[in-house]
Amino acid sequence: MSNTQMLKGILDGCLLAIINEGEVYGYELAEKLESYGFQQTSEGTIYPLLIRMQKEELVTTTLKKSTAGPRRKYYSLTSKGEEELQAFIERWNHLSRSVDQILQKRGSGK
Amino acid sequence: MNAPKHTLTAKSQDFLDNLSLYLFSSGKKDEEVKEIVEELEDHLIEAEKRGKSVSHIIGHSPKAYMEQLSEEMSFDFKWLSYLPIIVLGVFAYVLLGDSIRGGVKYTLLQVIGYPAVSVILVLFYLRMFKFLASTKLSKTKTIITTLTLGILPILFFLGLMFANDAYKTPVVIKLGATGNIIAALLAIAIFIGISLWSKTWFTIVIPTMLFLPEFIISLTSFEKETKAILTISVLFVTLIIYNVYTFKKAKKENRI
Repeated sequence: MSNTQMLKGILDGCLLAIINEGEVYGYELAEKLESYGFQQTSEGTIYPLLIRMQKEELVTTTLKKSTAGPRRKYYSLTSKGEEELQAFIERWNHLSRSVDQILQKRGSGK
Repeated sequence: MNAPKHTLTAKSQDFLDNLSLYLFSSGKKDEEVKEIVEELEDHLIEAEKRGKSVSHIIGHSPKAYMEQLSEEMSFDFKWLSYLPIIVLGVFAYVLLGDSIRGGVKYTLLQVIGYPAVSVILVLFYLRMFKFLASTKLSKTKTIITTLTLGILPILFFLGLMFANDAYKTPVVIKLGATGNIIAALLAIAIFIGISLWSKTWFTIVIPTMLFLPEFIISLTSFEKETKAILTISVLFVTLIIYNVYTFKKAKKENRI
């Protein structure tokens, strides 16, 4: 399985978590994601996800003027987005615990 | 927009242009297209300031990335309403030309043929735009494709003309003197209507350029040959002037 396939869905949750820290715009969001270690994905990957999250009303956007260049779109979580983030955290904890257990068992088995 | 602006590299700007064309010819909502292009422009500006390349942002296949974006965006059904309007525009164009040149007379084949050809051409162009925006062709191939696209409508309409001579179908519409004047006025009304609807001058400027000189010359008492030569030369000159004008305007507004 390729890295990108494994990342799908997980990225969604990570974006929600970062947006939850405070209003961000696209470039900032990509940079933060990268600083947490997501270096293999190209930065633009976040935009299709953001469009979908906007449609599902998990995030809202506001346009603000930037010093140079076009207007900037800032993202923040809706209450629905916050709920989705909580659900993701639970799913992730459960999943990572299970994966950890399997990997550790295999590691100590030999 | 006259704020001091960071200029994008040609490669990034190309990508943005192609993306808008791709999404537009996929029938996506105008505002959504503008929003995502603007957002990516901002992203590319920031990224280029820090020395990153386009492929760092969009990955190695622009086409795959455009598709990913396109999948998440909604189709605009308002788009379908463009089709009848384009057909109406072609209709007005043909009608005005014929009424100036001495009489509206259409056979069954023409009445069916003109709308059919227009619809086929529009659908074909949309597909081609999408293809060209997402595929990188060599320079020669791009030139050949563009030329073919330019010649295609002429071929289609010429084909229709020949078919009309070859296959005799009954004349279904034939107008007299008053009828022709009404037809011309109707065509002009359609052009003005489309211009108002689309909020562009295009459908007023082009027909005026094409037909007004011909109409004025037809009123003069020159020989038939002189008239024909005059019409073609005036047309040629106006087309050149128009091209230079639009090019200069584009140059002024854009980055070239």
